[in-house]
Amino acid sequence: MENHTLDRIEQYLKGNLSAEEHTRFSDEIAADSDLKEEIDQMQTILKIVSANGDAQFLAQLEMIDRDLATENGGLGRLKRIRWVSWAVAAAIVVLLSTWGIFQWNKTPVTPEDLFASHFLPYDAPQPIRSNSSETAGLPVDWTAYRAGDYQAAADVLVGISAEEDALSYLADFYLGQCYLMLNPPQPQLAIKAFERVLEKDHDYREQAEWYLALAYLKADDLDDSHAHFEEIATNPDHFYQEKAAKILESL
Amino acid sequence: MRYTDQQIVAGLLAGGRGEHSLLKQLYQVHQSTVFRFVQEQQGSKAEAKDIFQEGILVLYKQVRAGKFRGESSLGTYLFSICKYLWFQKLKKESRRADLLERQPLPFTAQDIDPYRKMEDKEQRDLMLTLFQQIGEQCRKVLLFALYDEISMDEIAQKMGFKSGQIARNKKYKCLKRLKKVMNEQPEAQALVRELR
Repeated sequence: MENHTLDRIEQYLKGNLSAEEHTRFSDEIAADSDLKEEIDQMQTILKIVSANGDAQFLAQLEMIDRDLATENGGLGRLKRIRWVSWAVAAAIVVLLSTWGIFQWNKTPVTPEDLFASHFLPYDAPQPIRSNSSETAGLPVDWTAYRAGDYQAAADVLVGISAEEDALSYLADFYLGQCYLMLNPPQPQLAIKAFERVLEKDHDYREQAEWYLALAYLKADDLDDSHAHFEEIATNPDHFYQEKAAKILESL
Repeated sequence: MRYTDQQIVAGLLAGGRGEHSLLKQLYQVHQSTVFRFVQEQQGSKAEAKDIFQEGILVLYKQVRAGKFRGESSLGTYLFSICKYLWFQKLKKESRRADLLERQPLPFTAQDIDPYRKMEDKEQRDLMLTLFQQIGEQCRKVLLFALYDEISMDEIAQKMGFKSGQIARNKKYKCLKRLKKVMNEQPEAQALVRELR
């Protein structure tokens, strides 16, 4: 099939041909069974692309939802810390008056602070729609993960990660989350898990890149962390571009 | 920075799905109104989230298709879409049929319904699986070209190709790859027949 015919088919199916062109092309289709077959295939292709585009768009909205929840969660944690530690805060104010506000403003933010203000563990897969129990497809009981028992969750996920399964990238992705949440955290293992996610072909790339950069931050490896955040910040289409740019300002 | 409706519309037309900050503002500003409405109507929080996200998807497609003409604010328009989707859901589940009929719409139902999510889970899963098999680069090229409908020059820029012509050639190759994947799998052939 010639490329220009493919273009014509696409424009025909999208209703972008003029009335005259549309009639002429319809006549050609009626007289040519191969062309009719091509039309059917292209129609299916457009539906496949549309279904995938919709799925990606909804996944992007889900990322925004989590992102906003992370921001609100961070704010909530900040408020709790402020409430519980008011006496400590008062002492800090006294200290500030001694050292001067100007000096305090120059105090660098630590990698641990940056990590704490930007990291919240990714939610366990939710049912795809509210009226279904179907999740992202991993045959995993997410109870331990949801309950914050990250060691138990990691024990399950590590087995799936080792399998040659098309969804093992998801196991690695959540394994990385678990390693960052363990007490004590295991950022080096998290780094390896996120790197394995990035070796595979799927649509979790942007999330994995973001969490990999955070894992390096947690490991206090500022060079690698900086390099990964920079890669994200210089990609205007990256979901975490603005956040990475903000972190780089502090780093 | 707070974007105006005009800036959001212009951004969605220009940058498509990539405009995270615009979508984030839409989400953040209008979420509570829709959630409150659905929950006041005895809907759950999860249902409210589904309706709201689907409403933004419909709004996005309306904007891309040039059907949002700015006669109301984006927020009012989005709320109307979500109300319509919610009443349609109630009708489908035989909870309340009358609300849908009484709902005044700033658009025709025909504008909205073609965008509704595919209900047949098996078909949807097959479509996602087939698409997964053509590789990440092809997936991106076809989504940019056929879903977002952005120009070949822009695709070249986003994907790091040297020119729009290279992007166009890549698109043809990816179309052929997807056809090959479809032709090699009998389930896909059945899908082609079902979708006719």
